[in-house]
Amino acid sequence: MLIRPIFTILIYLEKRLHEIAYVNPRSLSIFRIIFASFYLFVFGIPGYSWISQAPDIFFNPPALSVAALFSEFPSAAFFQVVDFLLPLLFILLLFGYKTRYVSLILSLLIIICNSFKYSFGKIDHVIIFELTLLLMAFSDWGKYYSIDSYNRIQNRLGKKRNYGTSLLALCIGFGFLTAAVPKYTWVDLDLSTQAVRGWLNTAYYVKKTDKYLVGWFMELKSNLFWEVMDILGFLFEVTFIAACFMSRRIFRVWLCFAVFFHLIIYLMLNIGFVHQVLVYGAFVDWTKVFPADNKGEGSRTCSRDIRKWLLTVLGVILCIYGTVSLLGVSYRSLYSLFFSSYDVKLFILLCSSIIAVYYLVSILYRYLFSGRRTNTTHDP
Amino acid sequence: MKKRYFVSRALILCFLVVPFVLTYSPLGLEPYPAVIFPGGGPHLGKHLGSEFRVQHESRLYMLTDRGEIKVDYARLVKPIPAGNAIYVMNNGFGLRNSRSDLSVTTREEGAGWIKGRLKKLTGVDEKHIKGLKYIRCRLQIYYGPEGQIKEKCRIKSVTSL
Repeated sequence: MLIRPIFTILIYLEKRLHEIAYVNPRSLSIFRIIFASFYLFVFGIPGYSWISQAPDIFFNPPALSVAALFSEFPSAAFFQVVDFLLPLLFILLLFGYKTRYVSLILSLLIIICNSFKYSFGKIDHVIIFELTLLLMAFSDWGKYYSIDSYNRIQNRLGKKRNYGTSLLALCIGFGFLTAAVPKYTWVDLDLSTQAVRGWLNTAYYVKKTDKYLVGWFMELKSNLFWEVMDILGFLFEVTFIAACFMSRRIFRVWLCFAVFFHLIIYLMLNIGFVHQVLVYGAFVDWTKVFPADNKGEGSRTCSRDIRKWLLTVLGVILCIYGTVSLLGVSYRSLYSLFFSSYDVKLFILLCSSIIAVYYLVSILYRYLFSGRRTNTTHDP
Repeated sequence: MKKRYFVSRALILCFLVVPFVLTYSPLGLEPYPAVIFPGGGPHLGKHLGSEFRVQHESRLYMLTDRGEIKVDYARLVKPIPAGNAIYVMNNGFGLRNSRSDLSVTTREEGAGWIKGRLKKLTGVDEKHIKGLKYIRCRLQIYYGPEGQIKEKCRIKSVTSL
């Protein structure tokens, strides 16, 4: 009796999610290049060799994880191989070579290594990085601006439907819900207790962070202000999952709010969720920033030559990387040579905030002056 | 077709919901991977901001036959991130007697590793090192010119080396 209505509701919600989270494959391909570039040149590829330096007595894996199948840390050789492979796979991802398989292998490797990284007793809640790699394997982010796009053979995974971005949107919404649920005690309407201010005090007095606006926020003594921050923080996070099913515009507006949220957290607490902000970029229409040349899909006269050229460049880069690795030079990222991680994170958050402000202003302009209030499937 | 649809969607929902439920259940079993974002946090106590603030502090002491010496736990467990050090200490550096899964060799190697690190940090010879004591303190720090501090400490673990 109940199955049919549940089935109907599920289909409806799924259809809404697909419409809302749909991203133009060209835009998604540009996002792939941005994503891989950020990890190669800015954030740095995660390294795991340090794990093998810890004694096996520290091995305390989460009970439900890949690491729980082991009785001790893997050997140093395993982590060294992984540390060698990860940048290589990111280079392949950047060039869009066997994109789906590379995304899958990358995500699986990172999940396995992270399960060992979290075997010291603490799990970091930064799942969004490996999750994006896993889910984008089921999307079209290798369809354009890639070596694969010049290859006639199409990969089978995700051929019929682009599930990747829909699942990513669902995971982001659900993730925020999981963050909101433990915070329900924050909404107590009691001006003598404030939670965000508690975090600020921990950052200032315990972690001894005082960059950017930490000091300024410490001077704010208004209990009403801090109580409002508690309530707004909770409401924003708990409503995100609903925004995933309402409309394209509302979902993207919530993503913009999320960017501001992370910026404020960084300025106030010096806690950066820059990896998460980068993932929100999957839902930006990058074809407006980097428009296509409109030559059409048909002009593939030079496709074989372009593919050969790209493969050659890729081969040269991989050879250089292999040689550098054999010489024992450890590469994690370029930015660390020139900039402090704090300033780079702030730069990324500010750029993301500018994109978010631009988007919000543009829809406000359209709403107020153009009289366009449509929410069509491809309305950004 | 309907059955396959239901099963696949049910699996996706299970992957999302079950880990979250397990994490916040009395079992406290957080799986990995799981779609759980950072949440919760300290709820500021009353009078905070006007009279005092509360701060928690972890302290590690090396036990020798000549007394106790305070040790920087973050440097002790390097290259393990400092954020994980507290969990390692809470776990008694993995040397609790209740752990039956550890072989004698692994224990000895682990204890030797820790003693070696302690020697590098403090200069105390390994033969004088008897163990480690991890203490968690709750500090109530009063504002004002006197800046009185009320301290309440609890021994979380004592590890023999």
